[in-house]
Amino acid sequence: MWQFILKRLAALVLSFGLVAITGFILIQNTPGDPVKQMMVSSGATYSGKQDVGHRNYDLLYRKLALDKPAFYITWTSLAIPDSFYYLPNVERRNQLIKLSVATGNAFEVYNFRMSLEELQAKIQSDSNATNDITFQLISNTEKLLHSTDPIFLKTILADKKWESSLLNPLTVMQYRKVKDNFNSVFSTTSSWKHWIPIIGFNCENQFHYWLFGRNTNDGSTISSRGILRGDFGNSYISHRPVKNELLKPFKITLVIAVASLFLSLLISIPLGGLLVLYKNTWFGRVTPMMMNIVYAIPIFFMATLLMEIFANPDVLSWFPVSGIAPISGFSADATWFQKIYISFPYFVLPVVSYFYGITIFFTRIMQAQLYSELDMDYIRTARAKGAGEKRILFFHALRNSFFPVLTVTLDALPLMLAGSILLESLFSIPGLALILLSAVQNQDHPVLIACFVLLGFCVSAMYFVLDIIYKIIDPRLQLGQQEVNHA
Amino acid sequence: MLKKLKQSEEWKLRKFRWAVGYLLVLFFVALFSPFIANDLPLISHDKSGIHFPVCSELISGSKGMNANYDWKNHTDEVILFPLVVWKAGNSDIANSDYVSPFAPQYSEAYDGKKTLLPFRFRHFFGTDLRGADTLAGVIHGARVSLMIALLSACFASIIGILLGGLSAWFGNDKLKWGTGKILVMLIFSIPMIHLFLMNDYSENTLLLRIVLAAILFYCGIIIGNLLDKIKLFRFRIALPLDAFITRITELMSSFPKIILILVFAGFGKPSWGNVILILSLTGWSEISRVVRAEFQRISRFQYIDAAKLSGASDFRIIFYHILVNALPAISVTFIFTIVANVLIESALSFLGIGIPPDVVSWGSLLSSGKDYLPAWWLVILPGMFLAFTIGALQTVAETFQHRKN
Repeated sequence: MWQFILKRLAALVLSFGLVAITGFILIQNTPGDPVKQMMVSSGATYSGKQDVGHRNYDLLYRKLALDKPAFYITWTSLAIPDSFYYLPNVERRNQLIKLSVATGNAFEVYNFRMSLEELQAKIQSDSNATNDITFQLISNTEKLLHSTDPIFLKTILADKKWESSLLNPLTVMQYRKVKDNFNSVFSTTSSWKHWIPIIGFNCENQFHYWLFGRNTNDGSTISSRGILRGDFGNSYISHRPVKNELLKPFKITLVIAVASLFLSLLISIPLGGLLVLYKNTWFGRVTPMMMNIVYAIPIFFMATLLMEIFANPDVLSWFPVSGIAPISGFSADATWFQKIYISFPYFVLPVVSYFYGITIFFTRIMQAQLYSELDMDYIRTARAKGAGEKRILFFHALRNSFFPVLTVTLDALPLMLAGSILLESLFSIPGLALILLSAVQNQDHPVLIACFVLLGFCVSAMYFVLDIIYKIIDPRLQLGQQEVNHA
Repeated sequence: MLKKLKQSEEWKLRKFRWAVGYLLVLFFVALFSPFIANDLPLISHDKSGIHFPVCSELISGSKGMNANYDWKNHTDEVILFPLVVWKAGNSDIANSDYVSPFAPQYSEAYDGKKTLLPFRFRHFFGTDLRGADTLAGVIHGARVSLMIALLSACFASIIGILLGGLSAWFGNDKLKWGTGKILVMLIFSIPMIHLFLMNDYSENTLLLRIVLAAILFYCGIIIGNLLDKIKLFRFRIALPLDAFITRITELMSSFPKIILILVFAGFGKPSWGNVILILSLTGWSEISRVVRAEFQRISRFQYIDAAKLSGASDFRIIFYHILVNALPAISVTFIFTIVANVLIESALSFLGIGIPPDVVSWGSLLSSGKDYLPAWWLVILPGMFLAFTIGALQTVAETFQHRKN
């Protein structure tokens, strides 16, 4: 038993790790600049000048730990030194990497580029940039910054116009320095250096900080407590911590899912028994046919149909259309029972559209199991002893045959989330799936990733618990194999 | 009693035939949907001869056509209209704001005068807020749903058959590598990983890198085979490929797919390719499981042993004997995958995620129906077709499943 639990625990840790890694990959590929997002969202510090290269940008970049490597293991080549990854300006970093990959001399490339940027700054400060020649010079420097083709660079640098139109002698000196650096970059190219891998290992990386949090109390970092303690960052839309937003919707979704599952169990087990009992009557032949038809209706279609019929002011207005509570809220002295009584109509339609498919599914499984149970010997004994058909069915056979249904029930909880997404958007129930959906539509990435990671953790933990429960209920079960009878 | 049994058999057969007929019609409609629902005529003639506007628009895009030219007002130039004279998604201002199929429908001339639409040009299934015809939307949506579901099921099958076949063929102890081969492959894996992680920032060398990685892989295997003949490396270890792939399949199938699909669809740009990629990457686990089970069942047949004894190569055994026998089970799972994909795709387009929002699909019709509940034609009619399609596919799948037993 302990071996089983340990093996399952190892599988749990593995799946936690996979979910965390997938979530982290999503974070790294988030479109947009997180530093800019943070600067915009904090509002007060953003003015037009807070752009890449500005000092506040650099500070925030280091605070967010974006200059650290992404994962525990870093895989670079010999041509790209580590220090390039600490540069805040991604565009500049990419250009540096391009050039050093092509030539292999990273240090000289860095010098060349620094001197080129200084040259550009000097040209800009020399005159007011309204001069046509100055404009041309600046565009030339831009071309130099962006290209990696040595011939192209050489032709632009060798242009006679440089020497003739530069006025300030300091600028001319800078230009000569640029030329020297250029020559040193392209003097000895060793592009084979790119193909030699260098594997680095670093514990201080973004993944580690994301998981476990980072807390230095001197203001040099933006402290977070890490995913494992529930800190998922701030949402882009509401700028408040994500976990506060997720807790209540999670409860609501869970309540609806568990209620539907419970109700469907309550209905389907007796219904399966009844269908077997009355299988040669009109009821027992028509109902499975109707069940087939109803089962083929997709969830959102059924939900929309129900809304059309029961919540439509034109047809029948029995149930309210949306939400889970009246908009005005409850009166201050409402007791618990009164709250349930008032919000009950809001729950009927969602729960019905939730559980009809699952009820039919369970009923079918129940039927199949009962048919195979009724062929067993102990049923024959009970019949020989004179028990009525009803008692046999409901008292003996039922108790032994609802175990597969239970198995599938516990399996179905993650699947309820699939239906809940559509239902919550239809009925405007503020549940977890609706939060996920609005995060997708508003491109609110912290909430999205938090939902994904949270759900992944919950599902993995739930499978772990379920496996142990199965083993307790029926020790004959092997690891990872469940048989469902097809009858 | 026997008569009742026969009745249910005959009824199932009839249901199967209806389902197959419906699916064939749907496939035909989806394939030829520009020719069935289009606001350009099929054949027209004017002073310069006979033209085929629909074909020329398909070939050259909509550059050659004058988009505001209302062919319905110029019926003297038209020889043949398509079956439904509206295009999916094109708005018809004169009939906008949710016109019911039973309400009077007008056409507006350039001077604002309204005349009743002749029966040929009516909106048979009503319109939505912008006036786009629902029947044309259903026809175009059939194409979208079927295409996405089929393509993604195909790719998922390819991945699933590959992985399931690998894991079943090698099992846990058939992949026996000597320590020399393992060492060489580990050493060679470093440049292989490096080839893919380090991209050459200058030009696009993806093909070259894939070819180089394949060359490295095979060189590693050859060198490893040679090395294993040395006495030092004679010890053979069995690599548990089956357990590895089964673990991955278990992980993929235990996670609720819709969450994965939502998250990844929300992260990428909305496009058809993204949706197909995501649907195929999450749907292969079922097929892999079935393929693995079938492989294991079939390789116990005696005639596989006979084939091996008579010298059939591994390749021939797998492709010619085992896979051919596993085809019934795989095709059943394939159809179930198509069903699931149709559902998920319509759910995604209902929510407006994944597919570009201007593409009309059954889910988007349902979503525009949800906005205005009295418009029952936008809810019931596309939903009816959706339910019929899913029911038909399920019937076909269940019949195959029943027959293969």
